[in-house]
Amino acid sequence: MKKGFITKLYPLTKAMFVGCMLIIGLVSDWRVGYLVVLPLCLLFAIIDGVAKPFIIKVFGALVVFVVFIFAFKIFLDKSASPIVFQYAFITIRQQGILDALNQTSILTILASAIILFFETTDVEEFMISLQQINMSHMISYVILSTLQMIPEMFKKSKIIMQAQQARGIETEGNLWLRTKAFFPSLGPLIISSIADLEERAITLEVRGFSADVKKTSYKEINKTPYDRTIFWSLIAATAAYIGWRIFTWLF
Amino acid sequence: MAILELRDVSFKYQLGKETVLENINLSIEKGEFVACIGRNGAGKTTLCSIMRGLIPNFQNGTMTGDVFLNGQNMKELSLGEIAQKVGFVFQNPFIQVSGIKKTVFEEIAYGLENLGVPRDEMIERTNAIITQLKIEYLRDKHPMQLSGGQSQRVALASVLVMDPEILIIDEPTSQLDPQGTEEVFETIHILKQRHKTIILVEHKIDLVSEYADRVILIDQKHILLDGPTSEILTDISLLDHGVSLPQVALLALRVEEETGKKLDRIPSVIEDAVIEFSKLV
Amino acid sequence: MEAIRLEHVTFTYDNGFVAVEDVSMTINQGEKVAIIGQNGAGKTTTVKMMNGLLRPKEGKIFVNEEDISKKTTASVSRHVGYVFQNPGDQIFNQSVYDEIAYTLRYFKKPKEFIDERVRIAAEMCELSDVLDVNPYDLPFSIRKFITIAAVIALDVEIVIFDEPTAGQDLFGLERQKRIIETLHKQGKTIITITHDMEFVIDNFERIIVMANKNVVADSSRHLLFWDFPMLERASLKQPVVAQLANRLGWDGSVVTMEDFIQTLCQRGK
Repeated sequence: MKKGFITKLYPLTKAMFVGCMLIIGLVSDWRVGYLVVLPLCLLFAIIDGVAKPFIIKVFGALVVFVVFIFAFKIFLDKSASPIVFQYAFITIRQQGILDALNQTSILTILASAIILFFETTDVEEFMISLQQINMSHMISYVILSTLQMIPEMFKKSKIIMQAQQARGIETEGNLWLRTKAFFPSLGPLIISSIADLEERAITLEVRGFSADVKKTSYKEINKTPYDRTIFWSLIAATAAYIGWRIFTWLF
Repeated sequence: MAILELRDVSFKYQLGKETVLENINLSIEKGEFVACIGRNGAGKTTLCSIMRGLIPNFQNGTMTGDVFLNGQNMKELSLGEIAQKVGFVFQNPFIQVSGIKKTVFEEIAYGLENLGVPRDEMIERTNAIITQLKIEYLRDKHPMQLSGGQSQRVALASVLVMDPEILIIDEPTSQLDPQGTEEVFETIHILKQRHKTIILVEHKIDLVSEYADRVILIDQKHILLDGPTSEILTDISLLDHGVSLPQVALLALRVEEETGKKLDRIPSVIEDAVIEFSKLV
Repeated sequence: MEAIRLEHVTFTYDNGFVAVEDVSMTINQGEKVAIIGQNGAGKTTTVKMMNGLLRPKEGKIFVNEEDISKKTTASVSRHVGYVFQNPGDQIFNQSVYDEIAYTLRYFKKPKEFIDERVRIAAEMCELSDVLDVNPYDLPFSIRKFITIAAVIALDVEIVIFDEPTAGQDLFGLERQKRIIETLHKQGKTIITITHDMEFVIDNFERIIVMANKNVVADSSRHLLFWDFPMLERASLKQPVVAQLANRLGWDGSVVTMEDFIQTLCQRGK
């Protein structure tokens, strides 16, 4: 499998990208989030051939939040700004849309940057790079276990739903029935996921995870020739941008 | 000098109403293969956790008494040192997979990474273990796509590569089918031939009788029986403690009771049973 | 009356993998049957089709002589109880009582009715003393019996046990044996998947062997465990007592300890 340019970059370089985007987003309005960061991340995803999973995951992550916030803002907008759209009792004003865009912009930045990161970075390499800068084991452990837990929970929930069916609880059928069946399955899902997590923590311990030595790694990850440049450019650009924002805000 | 020694160890879980184990005294020599048997809830896993140092470091509760590893008190050893010296394999085959490695080779090497072993040595030791345990055929497979038996073999390898002095194996086959069980015991057989010190918790008593040199029975918070396998596993009082006897032993005892015929000795493995019963026909 | 009938059933997973191919079997009401075979032979898949958890790609399945293809899994489950291998997948109530009563409450049965059923099921599973306890405060092996009690409380006609002996000690095995005997006396149909040959011999007369996605044998324990070609095909071993008899050169039908003792007396000095 050919690795894309982004994928070959050192994990911490990419992590710096996420961090910078976040900082930039915090001091900017919606245009940076929606018109710059999101398209930029999409572009990188396309370059590395992971556009499809990227789009699916970003869409999945955002659609609920963004739709809700948009709906709230739009329908509760009491401003006197120009009307953009009107149909029966639905009035959508410019201010409502702008507010919604601004509020969701940071979410969009987070989702795009983080999902791009995980689509182009191998978890193991990320952990190795964290080790190389002596980051605490606990943090790497928390990241590792959270990432492991999510697919596990999906698998488990299917098994649990089956167990419910086998007890005569209807899970097929209309939405109301499905919701009624879903809640009881949360209990076993959470309990067994937590129990699994505890067990996993102990099995990691048995593999020497808490040894207080500098860890070595079998996999060798190297920085590409571009990493240094990109890394420092990101820092410089972000600093410059923040400087400019402060400047324009003061004067 | 004993490789592992427990002196007057007692333990009560924080949330428990009573102590689980009381005044445990146990001494294990290098190269011994000890099986730990007892009914569910008797405290076998608790005992294993104590021997591995998981109690008191990772479990809440009160422990009194001391555990000595090669003469050194475990309280004085760092977590990393304990991890290297005492290997542990769990019941659940799939939970021991780290989840971040893509090949069995790397999965096995993971423990050495954690211990900071230099890369060249890491590769050498991992290759050595794979050869010794005859699992070359698993080397390039993805750790998450193994069967139960294969996972347990990899788990054993992953722990053995760290070159522990003792290996504690807690009910490794309870979730496996006969084939998986056979695979695991093939590995255990190799370890026995290499005179590894092993403590095995197992319900499959017929397998215990074939492999263990010594058996200890845990019940009512104590070690009630402790002796050579052929002696302990033919003791009918085991049945009162929730442990079955090997099939051939049960059969022999029944034959004696129901027919009045006497055997020279009660067999605990099938080879001995063939000899003894041949004398009766 | 027939309890379960499978007619030329084939099951394929979404990825195309065929787990069960052209399997037929009939189990009558009140029978006790063990289904054995290697992992991957298709046992669990076959048994999960009996209560509708899985649906066949080809073939028909009849429960109590009715075709279940148009019925929901939950409705079939009211006649066919399934005890899962891992109790953790099912248990979530705060007390053993609540756990056993759960489905009955879901169906809004009257309180006295529920109470009665729970009491009977708990007694059969020897849980009467722990009805108020939280299931997670009890050891794993006891939790297994809670899930069995939950199925018994529904008073289903057919009960499927999936690997009931995994992780059990001697007391647990004996308790299971008593439960199976009681259910059998009540006229229930019992189907078990298990790897424990000794457990099979102790409790089941009729044994169905699966290997490579089909049924390779369906007969009595005395015939089965001396059919060496079949055992080889299914990668099964003889139970220990039979192995011993074989090694002693006795010819074939010793399977239980009673058989052995009888033969020993016949051949004895």
